[in-house]
Amino acid sequence: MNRFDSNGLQTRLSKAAASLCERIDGARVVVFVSEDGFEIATAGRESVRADRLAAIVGSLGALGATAAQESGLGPVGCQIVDCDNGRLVVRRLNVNGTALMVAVVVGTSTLLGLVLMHLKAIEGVDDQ
Amino acid sequence: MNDRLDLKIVFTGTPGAGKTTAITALSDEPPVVTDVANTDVALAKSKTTVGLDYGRVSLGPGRGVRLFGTPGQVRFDFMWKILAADAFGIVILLDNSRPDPLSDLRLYLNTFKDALDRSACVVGVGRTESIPKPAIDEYIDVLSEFGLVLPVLAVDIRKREDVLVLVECVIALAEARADIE
Repeated sequence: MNRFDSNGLQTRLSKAAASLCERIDGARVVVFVSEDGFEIATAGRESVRADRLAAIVGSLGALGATAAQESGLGPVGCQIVDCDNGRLVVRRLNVNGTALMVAVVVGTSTLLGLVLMHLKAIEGVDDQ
Repeated sequence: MNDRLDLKIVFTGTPGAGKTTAITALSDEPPVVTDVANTDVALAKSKTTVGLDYGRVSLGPGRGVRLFGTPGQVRFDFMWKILAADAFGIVILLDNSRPDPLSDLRLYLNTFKDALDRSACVVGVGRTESIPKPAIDEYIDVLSEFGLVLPVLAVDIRKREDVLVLVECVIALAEARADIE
């Protein structure tokens, strides 16, 4: 159990995940993840082990941040895993002082810029 | 610095057993760590490793050890497999203050079964001074359930010399295995 279960944030992020999934054409799954790899909220049209994906995104996010720090690149905004059959896009968020990540799995037909635009637009999710 | 004779040793074990602490204690340089804020209320610590730890210790001219640490939680078991691939040795760190450290050992022996076939392994048990039970002999009994005869050492993972003993033990064990084979 993590501390997001009972503070209402999970409900707001569930709505945000569903909304993102609807607005991003070709989105297969959207997962909000705590920095330490817990699934907080998920929406999707495909059966994905969201808890597993969340843990992997947690590691990926930490490795990306550490790699950026070692390389003198500053804070990480986005990480993109570009594959033959689609992309995994991870964006870091700060919600009410809590660091989170949102991960979206999309197919090859989805425009990357569109995904990035929608992910950037949810920065204010806590105000909704 | 790259060194062709570097060995890869992986520290794994339960959350809070001291993997990051061990690598920090032994590494010659500040380690790479991927600690983040812990949100798991069941885990009494403010930070937790979610990616890996990395450090390096020199064992003399032309010989060094690259120290990799895994996250402890089972949800990161994919990192265990990634990091254990091609490991020269594995150190399993356990914490005697956990509810059932013998079951913890069984979990890691099962998960690292394939890696243990090809890599030398040593078990280090922490907090034995404050929590003497289970005794070291009980860990050895668990290893024997798996047909394994491995060193089990009581350690204070904050002490560099204790961590170094674990590493030296892994290397000695690997060399002994190589001689037999």
